[in-house]
Amino acid sequence: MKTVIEAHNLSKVFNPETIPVRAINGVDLFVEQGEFTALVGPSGSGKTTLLNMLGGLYKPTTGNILINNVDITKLSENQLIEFRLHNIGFVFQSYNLIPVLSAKENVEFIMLLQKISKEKRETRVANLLREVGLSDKMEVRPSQLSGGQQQRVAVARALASKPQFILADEPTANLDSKSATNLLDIMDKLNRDENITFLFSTHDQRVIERARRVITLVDGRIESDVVIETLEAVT
Amino acid sequence: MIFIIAWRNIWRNKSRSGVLIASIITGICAGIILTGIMMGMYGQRQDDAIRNEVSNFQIHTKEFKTDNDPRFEIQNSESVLNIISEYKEVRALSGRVIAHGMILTAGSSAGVKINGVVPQDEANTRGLNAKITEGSYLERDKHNQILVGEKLAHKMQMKIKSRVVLTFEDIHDNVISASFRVCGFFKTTNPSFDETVVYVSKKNLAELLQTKNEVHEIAVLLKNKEDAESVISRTKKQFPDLLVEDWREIAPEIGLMIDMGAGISKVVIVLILFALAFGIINTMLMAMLERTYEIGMMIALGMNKAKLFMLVVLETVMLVMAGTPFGVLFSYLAVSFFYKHGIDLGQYSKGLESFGMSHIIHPQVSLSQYMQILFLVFITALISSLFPARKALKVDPAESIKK
Ligand SMILES: Nc1ncnc2c1ncn2[C@@H]1O[C@H](COP(=O)(O)OP(=O)(O)O)[C@@H](O)[C@H]1O
Ligand SMILES: [Mg+2]
Repeated sequence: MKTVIEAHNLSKVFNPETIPVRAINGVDLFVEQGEFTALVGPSGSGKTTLLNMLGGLYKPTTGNILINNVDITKLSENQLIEFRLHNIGFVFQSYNLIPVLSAKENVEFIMLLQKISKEKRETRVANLLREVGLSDKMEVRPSQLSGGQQQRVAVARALASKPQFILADEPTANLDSKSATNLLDIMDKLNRDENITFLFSTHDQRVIERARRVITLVDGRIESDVVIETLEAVT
Repeated sequence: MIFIIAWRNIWRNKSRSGVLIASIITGICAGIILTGIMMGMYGQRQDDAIRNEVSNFQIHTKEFKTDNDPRFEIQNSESVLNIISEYKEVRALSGRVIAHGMILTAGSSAGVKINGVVPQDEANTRGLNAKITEGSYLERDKHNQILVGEKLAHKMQMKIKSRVVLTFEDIHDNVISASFRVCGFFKTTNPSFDETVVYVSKKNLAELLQTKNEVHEIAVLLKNKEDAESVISRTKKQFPDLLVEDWREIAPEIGLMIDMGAGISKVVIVLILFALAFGIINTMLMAMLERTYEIGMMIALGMNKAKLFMLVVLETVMLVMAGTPFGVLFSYLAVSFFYKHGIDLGQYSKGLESFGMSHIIHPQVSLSQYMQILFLVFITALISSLFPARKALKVDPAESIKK
């Protein structure tokens, strides 16, 4: 199995000069290709901060992050943007989409940034939107889509760039349970059928149950790390 | 796609964009109409100066120009006149005998420039015959007839058929006094001209000055002012010993006034553009503020700074340019309407007329002036877009995405 994320001794201190907040405190983490992992923990435990660091949106205060053996903590701001574009897929909690673009254009947008040719874009967009069950909503603007549909478009977009893994910070937080289940089904299927790596944070028990590895954060530290299918701790 | 996003972004807040577009339309109209009025005003002044006073260009001897002594006549002026009258670009020309002297009536006196002219030639170049307000025009070779400006006549209380005396020096420095009878009054658009210039017959003045039927000044009126440069350079080549000067050199104060008018309208246009720039910057900064989340998201997804910068610049420029066609259309319609019907600045007309300007203005704007103004608006949009673009680049993706 290929290791896609490798983090050593990660910590993040906000406002070090004024009122320091130690959001993440000495985290070591390995994520292998094909995982379907949930990051759980109470509000304020550091889930968002950790995901943002792994996604190259925050610079850690200490520690290193290796993604596909590239230490992203050493990259410049511009290199990081480029790295994110080609290696990391994001699904945010809500308002994921560019409001003035249709579902199809939102998915296409990321491939355009990657300079992928028009024909490839066209077929890929159609396939991805079909996989998330939105073939009939291609031309629809985000404001005309339900929250669940918007999140599915976001998943399609995250996949479009063919990233190493997909980070999703509480992707179901703003969804009703039916839409949440539907989104989870799609993510689960993509993970099983296409070996797409997902790392998502949540505090929704029903979502946690779908995960195959659950990492629990408390006060910026990993309290437990459990692989569900085998019910075996991996420390 | 950046283009599409930029274009659609403009229409997200229709009222805000609408207000900005309206102010751009207003600004463009104000700029173009102002330019039109200025150009109309000064263009008319220039045309008047050429048609009524100085013609397109004049010829003198170099010495006459500095000295004004009637001795310095143009040699062989008859053949010079003939040659120039053959130029196909020439509409009319007039050879003048000139003396500087005094005009005296029973009660008063004034300094005047006495023009000895062939009445028909003067009618053709300066349209003098059409400017008679009282009495009649000069008759050819008729002695002791004098045409004076209405303003001078009033000041010196002359009437038609009044007797006046002109005194001046002849070419032998003798002081000559000759008596004339006023045959008519003229009125041009330039009061100071009307006060200082009088007309008598060319033959009459030449005899009094004892010149040999030569002239001191040749004024040339062209069919098209665009030909002036080439005709002047041709004339200069043909008569290298003579001084050939265009209307600006003859009447630099008019040229200066026109330049000043153009300068003033430029200053006002710059001020208008400044006001527009503030409006643009304000609107776009507000848009950036509203879209912090979205911008942060695009950066997180991997949109680089150059593309983000482009997006904002493109959106700003397109927003501004969306207003320009209407601005141009409206100002074109306004300018055309007033060009045809004239703008009557009745109540300010006294002031304008003392500058030799008409109180009815026909604004005109050339294609190149439209282009200039559009170009300036474009540049203003481009510069204004740098502020919101900078704001967008400063967005921190992680922070902005926190709800
Ligand atoms: N930009 C920031 N500045 C200061 N403190 C922050 C910032 N972001 C997060 N924190 C703090 O870090 C801790 C972890 O926050 P977060 O990662 O958002 O937790 P979670 O996503 O698990 O709710 C919290 O105490 C929060 O207040
Ligand atoms: Mg969070």
